[in-house]
Amino acid sequence: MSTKLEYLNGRIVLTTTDHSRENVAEGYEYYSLVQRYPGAEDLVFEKRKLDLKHTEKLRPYQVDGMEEWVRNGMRGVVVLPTAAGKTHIAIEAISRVSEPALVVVPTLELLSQWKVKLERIFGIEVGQIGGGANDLKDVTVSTFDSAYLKAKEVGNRFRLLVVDEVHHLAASKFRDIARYYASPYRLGLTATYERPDRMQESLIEMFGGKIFEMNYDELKEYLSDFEIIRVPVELDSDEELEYERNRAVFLKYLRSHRMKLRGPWDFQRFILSSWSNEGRTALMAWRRSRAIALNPRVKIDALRYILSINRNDKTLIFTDDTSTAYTISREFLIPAITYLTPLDERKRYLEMFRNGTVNALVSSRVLDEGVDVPDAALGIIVSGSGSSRQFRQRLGRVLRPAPGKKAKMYEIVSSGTTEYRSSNRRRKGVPNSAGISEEE
Amino acid sequence: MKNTPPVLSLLEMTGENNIDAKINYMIYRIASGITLEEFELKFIEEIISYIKNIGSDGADIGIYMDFAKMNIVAGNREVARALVERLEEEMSSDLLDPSGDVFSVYRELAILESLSFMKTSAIDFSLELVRFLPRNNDAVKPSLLNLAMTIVDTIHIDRSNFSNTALVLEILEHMGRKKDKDAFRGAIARKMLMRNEVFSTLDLEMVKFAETKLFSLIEDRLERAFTSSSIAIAKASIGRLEKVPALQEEAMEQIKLIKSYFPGKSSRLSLVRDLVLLDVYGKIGMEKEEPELVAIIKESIDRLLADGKNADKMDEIVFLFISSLFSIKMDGVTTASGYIKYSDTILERASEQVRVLSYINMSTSLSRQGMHDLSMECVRKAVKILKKYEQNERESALDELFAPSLSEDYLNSSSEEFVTEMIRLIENLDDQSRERIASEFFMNLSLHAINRKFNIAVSM
Repeated sequence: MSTKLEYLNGRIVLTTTDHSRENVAEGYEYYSLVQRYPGAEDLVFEKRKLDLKHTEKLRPYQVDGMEEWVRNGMRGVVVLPTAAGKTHIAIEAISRVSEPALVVVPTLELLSQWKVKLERIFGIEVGQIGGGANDLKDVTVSTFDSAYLKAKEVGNRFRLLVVDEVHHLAASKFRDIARYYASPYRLGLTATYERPDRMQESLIEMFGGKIFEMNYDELKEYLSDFEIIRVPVELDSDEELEYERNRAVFLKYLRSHRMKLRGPWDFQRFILSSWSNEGRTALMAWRRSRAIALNPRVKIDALRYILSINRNDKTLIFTDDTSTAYTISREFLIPAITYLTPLDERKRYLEMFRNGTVNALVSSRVLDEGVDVPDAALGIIVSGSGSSRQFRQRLGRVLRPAPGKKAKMYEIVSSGTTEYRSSNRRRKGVPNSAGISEEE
Repeated sequence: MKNTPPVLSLLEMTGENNIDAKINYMIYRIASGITLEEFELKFIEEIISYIKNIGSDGADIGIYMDFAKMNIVAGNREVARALVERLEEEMSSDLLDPSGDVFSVYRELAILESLSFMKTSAIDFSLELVRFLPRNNDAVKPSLLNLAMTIVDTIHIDRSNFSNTALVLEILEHMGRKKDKDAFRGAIARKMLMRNEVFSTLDLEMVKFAETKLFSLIEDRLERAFTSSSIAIAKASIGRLEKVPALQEEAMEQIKLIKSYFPGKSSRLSLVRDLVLLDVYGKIGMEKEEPELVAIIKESIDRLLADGKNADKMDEIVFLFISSLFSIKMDGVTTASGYIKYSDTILERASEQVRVLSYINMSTSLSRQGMHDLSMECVRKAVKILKKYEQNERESALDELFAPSLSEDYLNSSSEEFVTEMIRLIENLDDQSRERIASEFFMNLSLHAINRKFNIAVSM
């Protein structure tokens, strides 16, 4: 008896022609079902070939990545450091498949960057879902949120699904993008595949897993020459006392409840346990001690010094929280981009930074990933978490190649505090051959 | 009426107000992909006009549900969704049935929701009520187990419901005693792994859950042996389908585990172990191992039956033996009729209840394998014993055993002989009993048809 495959609400329905048998699978299983039922009448996609050619030249490692992807059935995640040209790999993938494609990106900035780039390279009109638009075209760019909301409706429109910063997809809500879209061809792009929660394992089945990876060391010749400089600063005496006092309250709580903080799960447990008065006090103490370590007054002086000796370099300053970003913005008259900054204002600041009207930007996490700032040469981390992923994303912001460019990343770290340990932790995965030095 | 097919005669036996039986009959016809006759199209018109008339009065919930099922099997999921949404609005604690399975209406609604690709809010609603129920309450436990089983059904129907596994674990917390917990874990794990045909790679996700969250915590060795066999069968099947040798190796590990339980050859438990193994061998195609094991089992049974000490456990031994025989690939070992003859000699030593139950189960196993004549032979053997039953016992056997089994045999074989047998069994009963049992036949017929169509194993 013959069978047919149809798409319905994010599912693939396999029905016998007399309708006496019906099996339901999730959208992403379309790829394996087509192989398992080669004779089935396939009504999932309207198959249409497009003519998507480009003249971009790929670097040798990009060609290798692409070949690996094709060998893997045009599925899989490519892991490359930021600035290594993941976008070019996606462009080649779109061209190779030459069928309708959806590119999913995490931020509105990336949405417009991808749209402009794809339109320029392929000479076509590119659709956009998200950021106020709902315009479907053969090649469409979407935000994560819109791709998630539209998944059941348009999950059988695009034979190729490209997901930028694909590590976000492993998180619970966005996983449904991978589940509901039936796209048989899938390309994930990221600089940071491993997640502290190990959720990346779920990408193996739905995306084809990691198929290609190169690190900073292996790509040195293609990226800017760079140097990481740690600048230790001392807390002043009243800050130090305040830090120690708060830290003691926090540690006492952990010890009395036999808790150990070994990773994000343990930390989540601590947050959950803070419903009691005692727990709440410990949580507040932890926040206060962290705020002191991350943003002591002396860091502003250190920042002033670093800026003064690198006066001519285009500089990105990263902070962990919004209020420090605004403090720096006021103190040094530097535009701040935070989650509070409206989209058009963000765009304006980035444009001013690109064309040299302003020489520096300060940001709290917003610029951590995916924003294309081609010629920043200097990065300064005033405060940040222990996350290696965040550090690599930040490093990537200043690594985009430019002739004769020597990139520098400064980390201002409070000595004698937990921030120092965080600094060591976040450097994991960054090559030792980079000139890491300490400045007094 | 001349030349009326028996199935329509049986439908007439459901009485005058038989709209539910007609819907169930139509579910069976549509789900089986049979081209509909003129009179059946009229049935559909009659059903739709009936539903329209009760529409404004609110509702006969059961008929609404059956009508939604009819639309689902016909592929009208949009219509089904509108009906289910209306049922969801009716959802209230008034629909709980404290005298029987507390959540039965909600369980059925949850099945409808998942068949319509909707969120299973009936499960969420039931869970809210579960949170108010006393823990470790023996009266509620069967309802809770059924609710958990339904949760697994919703996952089998639509894998987007996989996150509902967390609810299964929540229900487990209501089983206070270790023994109950083990039984619950085992039953749910086996249900998760029970698939007519392996279809989806996502089944692996369920195997992993069953293995790590349920099986690994079971201490009772019998429960472990039964569950190990389900894991072995599932892994071997998926491994074969997906061509993953590692999974097939893991299946062999489970088989080793089963062999390690209840060492020795002479005990009742070691016989159970061997029967479980025989079941696994049959289902995963290890034909070479079967003859030796069958010989060991026969020897054990003879020894146990000869020993008077096991008299009170006789029924259990016989039933397990008969149940496991039919998973063996018949032609590899001996003939099916040979098995029936052998079973006759074993069943002679069991109680009437076990004999009836065994023959009825054998009939279904045989009809599933396309051996309809032999299946009918087993039904006749069961009927012969049934005649010795008291009136009350007889009626409840017809209701709970014969109607479900004969309807499945009929679905599997399309042979009217099974329906004729059902008619013979009920024609002399009083009107009320006859109508009830005939309706039960059609209710089960539609359920089996839905299960077969959607590759699920829902029981209501």
